[in-house]
Amino acid sequence: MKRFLIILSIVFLSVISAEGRTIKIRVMTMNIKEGGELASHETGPFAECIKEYDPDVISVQEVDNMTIRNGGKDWLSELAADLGMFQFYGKSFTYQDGGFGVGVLCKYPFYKADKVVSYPSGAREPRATAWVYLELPDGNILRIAATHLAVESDQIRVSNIADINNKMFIDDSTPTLLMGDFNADPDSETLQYAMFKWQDIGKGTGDTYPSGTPASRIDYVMGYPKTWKATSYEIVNRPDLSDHCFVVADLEFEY
Amino acid sequence: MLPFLGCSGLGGSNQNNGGGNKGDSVYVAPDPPAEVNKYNLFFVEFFTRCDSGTLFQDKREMDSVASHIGSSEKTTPLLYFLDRSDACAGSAAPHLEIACSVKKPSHFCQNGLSDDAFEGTGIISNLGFGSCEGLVAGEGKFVSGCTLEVPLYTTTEITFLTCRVDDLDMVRILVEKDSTLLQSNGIVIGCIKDGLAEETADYLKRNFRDFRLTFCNGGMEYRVFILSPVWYVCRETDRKNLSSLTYYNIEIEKLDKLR
Repeated sequence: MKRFLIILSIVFLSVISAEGRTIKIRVMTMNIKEGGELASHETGPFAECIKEYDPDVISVQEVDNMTIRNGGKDWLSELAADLGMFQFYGKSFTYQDGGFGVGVLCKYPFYKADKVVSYPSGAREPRATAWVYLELPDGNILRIAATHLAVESDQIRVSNIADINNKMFIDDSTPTLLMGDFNADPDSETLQYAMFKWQDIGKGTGDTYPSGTPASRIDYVMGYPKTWKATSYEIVNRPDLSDHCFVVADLEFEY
Repeated sequence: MLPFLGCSGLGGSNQNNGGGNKGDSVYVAPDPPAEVNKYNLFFVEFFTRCDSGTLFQDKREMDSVASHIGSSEKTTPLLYFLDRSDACAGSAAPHLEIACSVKKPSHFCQNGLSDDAFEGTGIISNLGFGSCEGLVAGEGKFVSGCTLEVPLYTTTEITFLTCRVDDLDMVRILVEKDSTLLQSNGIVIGCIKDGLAEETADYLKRNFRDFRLTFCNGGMEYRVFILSPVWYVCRETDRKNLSSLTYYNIEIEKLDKLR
């Protein structure tokens, strides 16, 4: 009986400690346009921009990895070194003797990472979504994903999301953020499909494309489960760096 | 070359199923074939001081490693492990600086936390990473690594993990959570407290199966160990020096047949 009570107490305390915890994190998502071509494929200007906002995690899209046009550099690793962060690259397809894809950067080391490459019938090219698992300094476990959906049609993008969901929701217990360029407006079929599973955390915020004078909202921060809160959500307009605006947000998730 | 102080095959037969306390039954891995299949052979280099300090004491040592990796063309290791190449938030991690300079993919495997740094092992690869694997193995302790498609006689997906074992609980958690990987295509190369080596070997042979365990050195604060599925055998470990650093050249063969 005594042993049973001890076990019961441990279970009860575990439930208590799992509840009432809050994840607080600052995120950033940036489509850097063609491997950072507006900055001559240098990482420095992007690093300076990122440092202004000091995000904990970053989703980067259109990342060149050792391509001819970027001089054979591992762009994401160089950016990680500039920032003192940790990187994971997800290659979508081979391009100019190297790779083209997405990347995740984190202030904290991640202990697990994976990707899915979606290439539905009719798509022009494969699209990668990459994610990492990290333990935050407060002990909370979080999954961060970077994505860039196809440009061709809603039908293909819906297939992209289905592929992402199929692989990512093998684990449906870890709080997750999926960030990137969805190439779709908020009222599109793509977004309607995405929101079966995901929460558009920045719903109702400003347009992100094209930079300079943005006219449509196609860059998103999505959350799972659908109980994330944004305490701030900022559109960063830097036409000198990209044709997309970047997004920076302070987010909270309560267990 | 150093002698194997540990064992590859630890007595007994195949009574166990892995995980849990299985009592007195003891597992013994079968002896590998005497003949080495060179088409199934690969090697890695494991840099370590085998103590509690960080690997790099100054920039010259990092430059030496970068130069060593940059010039390794004919006999290329699959991976370079840089044990205790700790990283500080906001500063470029040592392994990342080296990887950028030699233009090779890299990954930081966090092993633990200290007040002022992320303790861990940098991995620099000659192949791209497919994914990174890992698990939390106790408070602030991690076992992590990466998965590669290794070009052997038949291209083989192998997950290389690393950790620093300071208590037996880590081994218990690893075996309980990752037994399938450790019995199929997961190889752990790491450091273990010298005093824990025999205890760990004993625990594994009583509670796990289909594995081989090899130690590379002795008489230091930590020993380098290789824990692999029975289908892999550590054929040779060679201790070498590079300026003021020491590394172990570890040669592993994938076995097509066990005998």
